[in-house]
Amino acid sequence: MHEVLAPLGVKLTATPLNLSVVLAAALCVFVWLLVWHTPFGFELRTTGHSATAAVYAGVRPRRIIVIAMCLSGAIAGCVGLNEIMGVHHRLLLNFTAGYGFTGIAVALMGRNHPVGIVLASLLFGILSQGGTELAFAMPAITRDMIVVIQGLVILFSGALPQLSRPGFEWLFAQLSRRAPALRSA
Amino acid sequence: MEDVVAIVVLILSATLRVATPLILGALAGLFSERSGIVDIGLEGKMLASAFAAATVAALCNSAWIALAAGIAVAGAFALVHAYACITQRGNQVVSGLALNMLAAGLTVVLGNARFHRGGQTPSLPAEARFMPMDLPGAAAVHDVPVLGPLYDGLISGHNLIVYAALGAVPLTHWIVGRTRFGLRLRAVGENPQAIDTAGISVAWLRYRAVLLCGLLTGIAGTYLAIAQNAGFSRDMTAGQGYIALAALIFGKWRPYGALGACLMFGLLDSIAIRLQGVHVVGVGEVPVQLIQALPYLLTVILLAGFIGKAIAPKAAGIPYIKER
Repeated sequence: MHEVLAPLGVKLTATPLNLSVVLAAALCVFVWLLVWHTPFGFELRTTGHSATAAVYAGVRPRRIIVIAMCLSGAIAGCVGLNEIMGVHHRLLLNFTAGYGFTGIAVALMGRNHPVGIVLASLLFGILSQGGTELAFAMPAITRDMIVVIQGLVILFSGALPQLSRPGFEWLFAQLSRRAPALRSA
Repeated sequence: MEDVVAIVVLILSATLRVATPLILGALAGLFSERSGIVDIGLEGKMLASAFAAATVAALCNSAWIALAAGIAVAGAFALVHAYACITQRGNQVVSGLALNMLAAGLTVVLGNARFHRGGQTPSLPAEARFMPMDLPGAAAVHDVPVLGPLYDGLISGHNLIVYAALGAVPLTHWIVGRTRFGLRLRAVGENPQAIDTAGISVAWLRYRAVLLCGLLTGIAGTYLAIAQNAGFSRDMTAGQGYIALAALIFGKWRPYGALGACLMFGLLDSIAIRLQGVHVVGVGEVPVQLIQALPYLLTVILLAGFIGKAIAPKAAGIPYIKER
């Protein structure tokens, strides 16, 4: 990325960031347009909601599923673009390092919407890069400890989002009960 | 002839040993998923219980206490999963994934803190493990042609957990198919509203199913750490939880189907191990990587072509919200 922006007068420190981030952003917009603003996207969502209703409406679920899987495979292939062509410039063994499974968590935490997915993937990116920096700065903290922290973050933010709700409800109830008293005082 | 029998017996008995954790894992997943809770955390539970079993075995020198510890830890993980999925109605896939990561990290961190061996536990002596045992009469029939090696090499000479896993299959079939609990379990996975209308607690039923899942993954993890191997090493499950899940889907969420799929995975795996370095006529030596990929390749082909449609329990993955 720093090489691309240099002629434009923008100076960045050298990082592994490359043009695939632009591709990723473009794909987000593409997916958003495709799924929510085209006939194909409508058929796709209908199939997901109720295959029988889709058949009734003249949609062929098999065709939709095959196309969706092909698109999904094509987009998943772009992970290699970032890692191999953008960062390492050679094929490494197991370079995907669990991106596939993390991707599922990112998609679900982003509530299956491009905007949510961007936010969720930023969170995961911060977690993993922050973890690496932390392990670098403090040798007592190992890579595995970072994995534990990531697991806990996913558990509490992804799977237990309602955990703190009763506490906050109680808090807001207390505040709103006190608020009229404050106003009259 | 003798050689052929010997090789077949060797491969089949290796199949049983490889398939055991898969069978236990698949049955664990069966209980959970039939009740409507998707569990991709089998891997993490197996890993955590393997670590707990190996650690306790190293400290207490007792295989049975280690088994109890493995089951307890896997049960605790299952309880967290159940709390997130049932009580908090969180996303089941995310919860399972989080528990997998948690187990992968925690085992190594705790192992490092206690044993300082890069996440490994010390290798265990024989009395702290489940060792192969000879069934009665194994030595006596050893010299009988064909039947002798079959009984001595294949049926006898495994450890207790292998037999327990094989016994768990008909037991699960009976529990799920023939008992009142099993009927309700299947019903809550298909239509929780019906169960609720009948006055049965959906949450309690699902909690019990997920805890049963924890019990079985606990045994599976214990098998990996103190029966098949002599200690814990980092990431020792190596995707077997996911393979068990695949076997469950392969077997269409039925115990015998899952058993068949697990045995097939085990067979392919042990054939792959035996084929390493063997010269095939006309091809030469087959690369090891290709042989290792063979089970997965066959899975895709079989799943796509021959198994037919696998229909998941209808309510799987959907948190139950009582109507008001």
